[in-house]
Amino acid sequence: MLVDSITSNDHYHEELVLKPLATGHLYAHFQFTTYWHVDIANKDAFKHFNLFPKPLGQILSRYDVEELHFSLTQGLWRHNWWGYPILSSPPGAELSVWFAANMSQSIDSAWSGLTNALSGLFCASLNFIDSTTTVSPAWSFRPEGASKKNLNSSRLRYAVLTRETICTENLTPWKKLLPCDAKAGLSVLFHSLALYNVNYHSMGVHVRPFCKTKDCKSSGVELKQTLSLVFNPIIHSGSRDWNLENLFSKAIPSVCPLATTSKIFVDISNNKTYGGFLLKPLPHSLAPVKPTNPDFYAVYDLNRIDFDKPYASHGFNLAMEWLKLEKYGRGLNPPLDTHRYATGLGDENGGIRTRIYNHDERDINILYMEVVPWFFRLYLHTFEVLCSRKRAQNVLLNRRFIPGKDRSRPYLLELALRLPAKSSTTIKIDFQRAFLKWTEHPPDAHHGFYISSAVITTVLLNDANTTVPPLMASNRNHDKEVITRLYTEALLVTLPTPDFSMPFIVICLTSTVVAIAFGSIHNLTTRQYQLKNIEDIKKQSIFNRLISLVLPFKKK
Amino acid sequence: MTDDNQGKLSLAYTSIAVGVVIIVLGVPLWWVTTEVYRAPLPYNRIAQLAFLQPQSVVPVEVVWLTKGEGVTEESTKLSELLKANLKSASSDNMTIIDYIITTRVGNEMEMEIVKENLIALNELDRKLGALNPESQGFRFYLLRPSQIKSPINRIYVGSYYSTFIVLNDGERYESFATKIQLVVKDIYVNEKVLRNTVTSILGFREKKADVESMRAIRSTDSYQLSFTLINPEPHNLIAKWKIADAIRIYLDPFLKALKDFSSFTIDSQVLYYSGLSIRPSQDSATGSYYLTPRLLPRVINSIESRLGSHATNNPAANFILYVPETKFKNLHIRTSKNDSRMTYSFISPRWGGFIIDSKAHNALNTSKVYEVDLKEAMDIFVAHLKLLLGIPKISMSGDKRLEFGKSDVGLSKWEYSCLLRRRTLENVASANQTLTSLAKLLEEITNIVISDRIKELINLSIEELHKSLDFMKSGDNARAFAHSKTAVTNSEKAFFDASLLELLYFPSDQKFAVYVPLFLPISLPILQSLYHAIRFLYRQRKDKQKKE
Repeated sequence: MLVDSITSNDHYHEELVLKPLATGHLYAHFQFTTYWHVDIANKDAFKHFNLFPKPLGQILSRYDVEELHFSLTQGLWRHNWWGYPILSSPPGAELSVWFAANMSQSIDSAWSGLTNALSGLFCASLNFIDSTTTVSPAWSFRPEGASKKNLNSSRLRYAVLTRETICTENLTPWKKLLPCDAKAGLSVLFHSLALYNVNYHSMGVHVRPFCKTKDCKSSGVELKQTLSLVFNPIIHSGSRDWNLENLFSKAIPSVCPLATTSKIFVDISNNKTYGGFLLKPLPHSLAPVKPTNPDFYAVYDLNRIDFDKPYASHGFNLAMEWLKLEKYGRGLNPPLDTHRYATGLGDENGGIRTRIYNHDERDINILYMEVVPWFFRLYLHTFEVLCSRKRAQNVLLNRRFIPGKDRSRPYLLELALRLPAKSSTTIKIDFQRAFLKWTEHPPDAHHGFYISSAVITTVLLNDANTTVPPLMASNRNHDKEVITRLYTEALLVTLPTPDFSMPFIVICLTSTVVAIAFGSIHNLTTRQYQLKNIEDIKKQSIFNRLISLVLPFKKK
Repeated sequence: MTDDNQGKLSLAYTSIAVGVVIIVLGVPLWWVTTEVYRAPLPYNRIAQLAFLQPQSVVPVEVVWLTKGEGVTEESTKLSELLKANLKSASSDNMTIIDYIITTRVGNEMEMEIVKENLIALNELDRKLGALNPESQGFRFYLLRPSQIKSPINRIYVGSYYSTFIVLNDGERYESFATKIQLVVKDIYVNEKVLRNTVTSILGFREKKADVESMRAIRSTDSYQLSFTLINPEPHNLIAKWKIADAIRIYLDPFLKALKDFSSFTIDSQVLYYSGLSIRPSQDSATGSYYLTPRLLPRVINSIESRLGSHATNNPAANFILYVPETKFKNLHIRTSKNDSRMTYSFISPRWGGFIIDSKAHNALNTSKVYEVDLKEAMDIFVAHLKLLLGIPKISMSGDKRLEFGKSDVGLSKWEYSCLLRRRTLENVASANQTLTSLAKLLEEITNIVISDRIKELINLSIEELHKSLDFMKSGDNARAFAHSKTAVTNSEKAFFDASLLELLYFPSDQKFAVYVPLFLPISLPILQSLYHAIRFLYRQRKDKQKKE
């Protein structure tokens, strides 16, 4: 097959969305999107890479991946302060993959190969993903791309490693996947010292197929690399004012020549609410945040900036200056909010409580998913859904529970709930702690064990608190429905931890006891005790006396 | 007195009973339960491998296509002379090549082809090569100038297994015997390289590193070929290439010819914003920039981090096409500072090839987009690949007396058989080496577990090794190579098997933690009382004898 034109079959877009949050924080979301008009299943064509990164592409092709979502996150997104993020992700590493419908290998071997390959690529401990952390949820996850084949959740693998910490070693390989590396365009801002000094840090890689034509007979691949940060400018400058240079310790010196679009969006919908601000320089244009919404983004098109001009000698620097003294809001009450905590005392039993608040005037349908490691043995008879509205009927619509198996499978609980308007609903389930073998404990055993975030998936009709960057929005069907995902807090629970020197102590102790018992019996059976004349002994030298003590049959 | 003695006697019997139970029952029980499983290995057969002399048989056939004149009397003399010359050349006592020399007159079919008057040499080569494509012996055809179109003075090495020597009038056999010898020794069987390959694997240190044997990537089942176009300044100039087409046209036929040797996976990528991390020197006279061989490793270092693959473990060959930064006018490579010859490509042993495309700057005036001419580049890359795979470099001989026939796929039959012979010898030597050191290791370290799987792998490897040697002796290169490949992969599988490490690092302090508190206080009194009991009984017997 001929790959005829190289010029037109892939393109690349850079976007940065900046949104001042009510609490004085600043939300920055980078999004780098590469479209490649080659079907990922076409292995002959899917090996000559241009803008699409080869290291990632080879892995996807080798393990028959159709859609992949990977995120590494440090910190927790505060829904009740910040609203909803553009892309949600749980603390730690999250990986969800849809495999192709017709594969040459088994899904489980592909999944284990894939996690190992990705772990090498991103320097993350994804190789710890095994059958004890992997689930195939049936309800909570749908393919986001144009999947041609039937939606069978057996093709989906999902795993979260909450323990994973994120650092520059993960960012460097992620950065290398960008066509312009970190040499030109928005990616120049990635100065690791600044990127990790934030309240929330989440990097992601999302691959999905898209339709090239309306009838969707042929498809291409979309790669979206995202980086979300929540800055606290008050710490940096003492006020809510910020500019690119003091946030990232760099301005943008040039535009990436490979990017078809390279734009910065600043959400100015808060301008009226909290005192008003000025943007310097003035934006090139305004774009509506959502078709239905009167709010606007201020748009800066980097392709329209002449970087050779003297004013831009340090590069393009964008600044926001507030007109009035700071007035921080307590944040907004988003329609849906959640908290989760562990209960119980001691080392034997415990429980998980998740409280979900619906602040909206309408009922909301949600899907709830909980993955619990096998060593927290869930008891389904303790499962209960309690609603603050006592008269509410049919809160729990449906339930799917897959019990765990020791050392091979986690517990999976999926729920479909209808949350009554203005209510809070509590999901209760208790667990018993299992004993781990002493070799199964991680090096830092007293740290405790994580139960990863529960996932709440819903369709919000009132999407006032969501933020969507324009490019992403244009890919959506222009209906009002926005699929929103909320991740709860992850839980850290301690298990009974043994004293690791115990096996040696036990061995030594039992050996000694056995030796003493054996010794005395042996002595009784093989020695004869008899009276001796004390005068005879006194005549002997000390040495002979010792000898006669040790040697029983010595002739006298 | 007797009562006391009786008591002592029963005590002695008890001690002996306890001792016997411990020794007969306890010690074997302890031995069996703590024994490390070690499957019996054929240590003797492995030890014999060291004395195995890999020997490849090369049939050489001299064929007279001249019509019958004086052949019989010359042919016997010629074969004797060739035999003597070819064999005497090996200096040490290691003969890895054995030549079988036959002479004959062209058979009917061959004569039929020559009869067509004034045939061109390449045509003749093709037709004769098609006659018996399976045979892997080398053939030397002797011709008269009148028999061919545009006769040449040089020896024509065809693209199959044949060489054509055009005889001058009255040329004696001594004269063309040296010609045959030259082709066999330097071209068909590069004995020196073969010997170096084998000896370097077997661990004999050469005084000087041998370039030829170090260049090639180790032989495996599958190679990964990755092509990379480097665009350091996309804001000034964007280079593009139609690599998929170029691979289909220029590379695929070549790889197809190698399909029995190994499989190849190919990929390509374009890298932007990654260029030289060093500044090349500038020629003061012409203003052009150049790199010296000393700087070349650093050229590779700066891009190496973006070339790796996480999808396979196969050895990779990288082929880099680098479009230099615009400020480096006419960037090229000079072998020395005063050398004015310009080179634009180099090869890095066991790593890949590198081409600098300095023509891009000429196109800069007209447009920002530059389309790379891949025909030229792919020719160089294929030449690089041949070297990296271990196919001998023919142009290196630089002999004016020789002319080489061109193959359509870029790989002559004899080059392929050369490659197979070299790789077979290499595989046999390295399988041999691996097995010997594995056996040594397993014999020396006694707490390594040897599972049955390891035993099977080792046995299989030895089997295959012997098969390969047999086929080598019968001159069947292809089969010898196939068996040597399984031999070497199995021996390596056995060597690197994780099960060998299971108990290797079992800490001995843990053993002492068990043995010292339990066995010491138990075994000492038992042995001691046993000793005294036996001594007591012995003395009693003596006393009895005295009394009697």
